[in-house]
Amino acid sequence: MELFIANKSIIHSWDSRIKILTFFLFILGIASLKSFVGLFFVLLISVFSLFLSKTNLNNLLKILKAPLFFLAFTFIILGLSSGGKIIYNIGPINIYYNGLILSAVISLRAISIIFIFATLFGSTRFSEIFNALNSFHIPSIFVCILLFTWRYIFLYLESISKLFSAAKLKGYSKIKGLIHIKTTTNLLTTLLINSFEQSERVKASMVCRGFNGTISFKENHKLKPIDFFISVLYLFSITTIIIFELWK
Amino acid sequence: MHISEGLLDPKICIAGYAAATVLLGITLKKTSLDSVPKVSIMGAAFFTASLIHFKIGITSIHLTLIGLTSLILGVSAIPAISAGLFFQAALFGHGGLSTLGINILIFGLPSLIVYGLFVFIRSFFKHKYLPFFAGILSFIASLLSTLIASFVIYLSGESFASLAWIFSGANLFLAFIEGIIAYIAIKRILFSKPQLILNT
Repeated sequence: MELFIANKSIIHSWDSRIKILTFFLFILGIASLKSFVGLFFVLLISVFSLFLSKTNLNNLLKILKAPLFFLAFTFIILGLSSGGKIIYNIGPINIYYNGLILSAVISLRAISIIFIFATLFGSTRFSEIFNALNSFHIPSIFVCILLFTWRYIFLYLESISKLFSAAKLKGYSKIKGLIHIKTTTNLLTTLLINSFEQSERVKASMVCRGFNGTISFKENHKLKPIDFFISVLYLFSITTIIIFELWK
Repeated sequence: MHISEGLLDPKICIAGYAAATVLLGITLKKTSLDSVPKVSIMGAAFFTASLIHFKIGITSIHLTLIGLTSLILGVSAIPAISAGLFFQAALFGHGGLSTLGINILIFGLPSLIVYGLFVFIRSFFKHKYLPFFAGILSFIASLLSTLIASFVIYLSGESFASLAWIFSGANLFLAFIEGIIAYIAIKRILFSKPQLILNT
């Protein structure tokens, strides 16, 4: 499920703090682009970043599923309803040029952004991300919440899988309608009640171990000139594209 | 109900992040250290539960459970929802990083409103009526988050008006299902573990 794959690439060795900040600003820059030329160049940079970071393409395709579904939906709705110049009509249904162009712009933006954050999550462990957030002075209580949520997500995915396997052995797959909703809700509630009981035990064990709301992370490495150089390259490229678009 | 990448103007994304930071800051101040394990673990449980598919006719849907989350976690639902949204974007591509701030507001504001109403109702009515009100409040939470999301989509431009309308219509049905699920879940919780919702 996780995108991260341990590798030796320039993106992997890039300091995670600068990487997160740079990619966040880069993503905001992509979101401001409106021209196909600018978006094409940004897409090239995003694909090149993915290639550099050697991201697992199978996992990338999995995270593309939901956005691609939404983009297809947007294409249909905007293409049929945006108004303006009609390029084709089938009876009462009109297909609008403006709608298709707008959908194409949104799609290019979305795919470029997703490739950039796939590069980020494909080259940075979540522990490094939390460490970076801690160094940005994000309240430590929130970093703790992120860390513990991350740890328990996989545990509960396994729990829910076992609950549903047991239910299927009892004929769960064959039920429909309100009974299906009631049974699924009861399974969900079992998970919630079990998690509440577990949280009480975890809280007691953490208090015994002296938990005080802060987590000690390993010391951050010193920033190297190459970290700044890669950051400048990314930010310079997006700034140039934005200025070119504004000037045009 | 997540808003995906690429749809919103960066000004809206930045404003969303600013407002979400304020909302998170206020709710984190009210979240005690003692409740960190509960918030995180139940946040993970809700994240997992929101991946469950409910079969409705020929299709299946998965729910947000923001109403149920707020009834159980109270004000601390905001950090839990924020963590859940972050991981949904990072692991499944639901929502996005640039739209994370806006998505936190879309899910967080209704959950706060609904929690406030629930605390008010809980003090006046007997426990046996709570599942009924939980169902209605969950429906309201889902409806409010749909309205906020549709409004934000509409802010992106007049061309998006029809997209906003269809988005609202599709999620109206989801809101109804969320209400039913909250009713069943709270009824069961009151029977098995009442302190889960009576002590928030």
